[in-house]
Amino acid sequence: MVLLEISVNGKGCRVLVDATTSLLTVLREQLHITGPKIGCETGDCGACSVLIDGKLRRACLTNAMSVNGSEITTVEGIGGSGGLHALQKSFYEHHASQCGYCTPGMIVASKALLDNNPTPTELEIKEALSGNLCRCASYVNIIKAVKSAALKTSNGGGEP
Amino acid sequence: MLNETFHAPGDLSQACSLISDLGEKAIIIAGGTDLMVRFNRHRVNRNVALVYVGKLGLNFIKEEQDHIVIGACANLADITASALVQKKIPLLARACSQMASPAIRNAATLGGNLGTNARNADGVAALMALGAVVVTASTGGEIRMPIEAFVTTPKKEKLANGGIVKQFEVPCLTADERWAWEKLRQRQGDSRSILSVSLRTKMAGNICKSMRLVLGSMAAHPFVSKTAAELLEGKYISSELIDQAAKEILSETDPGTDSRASAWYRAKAAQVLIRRVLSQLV
Repeated sequence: MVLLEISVNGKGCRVLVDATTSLLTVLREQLHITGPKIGCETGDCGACSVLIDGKLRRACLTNAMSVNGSEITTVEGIGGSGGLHALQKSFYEHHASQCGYCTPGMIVASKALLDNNPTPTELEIKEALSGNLCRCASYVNIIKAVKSAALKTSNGGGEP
Repeated sequence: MLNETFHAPGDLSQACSLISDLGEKAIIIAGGTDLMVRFNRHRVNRNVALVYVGKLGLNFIKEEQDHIVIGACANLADITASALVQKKIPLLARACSQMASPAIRNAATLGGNLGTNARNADGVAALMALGAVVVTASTGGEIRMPIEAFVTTPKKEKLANGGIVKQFEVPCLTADERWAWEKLRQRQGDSRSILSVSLRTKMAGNICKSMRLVLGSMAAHPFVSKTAAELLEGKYISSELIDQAAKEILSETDPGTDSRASAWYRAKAAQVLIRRVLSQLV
């Protein structure tokens, strides 16, 4: 076992992990942060998407020790104490979740997009979410929700 | 009981010594996007020593004389976004931009793409078309090897004495050179290659002065087509010659069948893509 020190959603964490353990396993099973979902564990579905030092990554394909010292943001850290983030509100308003399993990953991937490109085109949204699968096929509403959130945040109507 | 260890050396010579000392137990990890799939599925003997190479400073992209030098740990997103790569070796930027999804590209490295040794490694195919040289470092020093030789050399030879891939040296495209990259995939985003065809060529009008045409996913590794060079160099590129090349290049291939496509489909589609890249030259 080796000692892992990371910050998750602004809170410092120290845990002992096996060297081959994924960040997803650490988040869910040791830190009990269950926003990132277990889907394929092959990097194909995007349900485990997190931000690592601000960059979109797959928690399932990230060796936990390789991000020792990093700042991790999960869906729980988006919005925070100020209430829902504009993206989260927009997903709710546009009924962009059906079963909801993909939603945490979709929100995190969308946040990564808007952080770098506050006014994306529809094509750019599709490209940014190309690695996130929705088994209910709510893609049309998800894209509408991201567009709407981008419009609101770029007009100063919500937390960027 | 697991007996795993994790090492994160801070410089290259330390990493090489460590890998050499650990021997068979050592598993090199960078972005982890391929290796973690195996760990997640428990397909790896867990009595392993992981050597994380992400802290070796091998994520550089720089220009040296008439080459672009890319560190083995440069990730696909940084390569795609690099103004230097876009300007001097745009073929590689195009190939990297079409690999996997944004989240994977933020982690996956060019060195890792070579390390997986896959038949559909798009980064390897693009580097091969560009004529890249692989530089490895070990306790015995550095070795430089053309990438097409690297993919066919046994690991024990090319990475002896704690060897790791250090960097890629890619000759910049000159004003009289052209390039093309075509990838067939099941959908536009996040899709592995069914096959790819890429080329780097020097043309004088419609006369082909040099031809380096690479096929990906059409054999055990991406490969440089000898037939293309023999058939096209020194010739006027006509539509008849393009048709002939598309047929004859197939004799060098050994396409397989997998969940993405059958060997029969790949052979048919390869001819289309070969025609497509060659037609861009006339």
